[in-house]
Amino acid sequence: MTTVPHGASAPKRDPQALVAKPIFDWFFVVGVLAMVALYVRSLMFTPPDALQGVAQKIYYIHIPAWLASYTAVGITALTSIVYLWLHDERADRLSEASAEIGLVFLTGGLSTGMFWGRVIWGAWWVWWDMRLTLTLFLWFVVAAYLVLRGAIEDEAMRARYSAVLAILAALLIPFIHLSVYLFSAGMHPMPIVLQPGKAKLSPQMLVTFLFGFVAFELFCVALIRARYRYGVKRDMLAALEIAGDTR
Amino acid sequence: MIDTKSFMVGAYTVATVIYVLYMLSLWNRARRVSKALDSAGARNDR
Repeated sequence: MTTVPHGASAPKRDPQALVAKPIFDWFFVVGVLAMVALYVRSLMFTPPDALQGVAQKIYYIHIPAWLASYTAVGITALTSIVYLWLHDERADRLSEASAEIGLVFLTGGLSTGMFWGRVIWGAWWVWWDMRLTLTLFLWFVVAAYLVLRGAIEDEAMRARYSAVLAILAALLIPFIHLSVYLFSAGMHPMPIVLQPGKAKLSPQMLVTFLFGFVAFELFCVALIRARYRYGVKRDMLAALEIAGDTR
Repeated sequence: MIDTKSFMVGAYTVATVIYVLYMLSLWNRARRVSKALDSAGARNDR
């Protein structure tokens, strides 16, 4: 029998229909096209910053990546709460899917930020910047969540333990967001767009910036959907193999 | 003086590689599970 590393319970609600659905559907195509449009607009149709030059264009893929990772980690925590409350395996599966996508966007956000930091701060990494260090900590907690899931065989125990860790991970998000206000030592700038009064960005830059949020959110949700569908298929396979073995 | 353009290109390239590699990984895992599902389904039908 093939070793199946995860859950063995068959997905609820017409499993055959769920399994028959493709992993990458029209929504995924919309998400990818939005990302391509963002790349084209930011690189070719948005003027460079007067002070930072073209390095400022990293913003358009750096900050939206953070918002996407917060969304994914937030969904992980919310579905974990739902799992602890209702013990519904679909909530656990969605939690696992969004955690994996959250890690992808956290990696994207950290790596693009390092390039910007090298140009503007003169350093790839600044340990005493609280936002940077707390974000790295969040990356490790989400990675630990996925490692934990792979380490526990019992389904109910795995779902329960990982749900608790996911909720703890999400508690870091407000601290990361408010770290520029809470800690005086740091290199990260205060909010530029989300502040009282007029945003300090030209209209062209602002449109690209806001479109970046939309594109990354679409891409994030599309990836979570695809990863969830993969989870449905994987669990169905495990259930089929167990059914085959017990005959 | 730092060539800011090369850092901008580097950031976009690294981000693209991360997202594309993840999509390829997911596609590959899904393809293997679909194949295994087909063969497991056929085995159970017998």
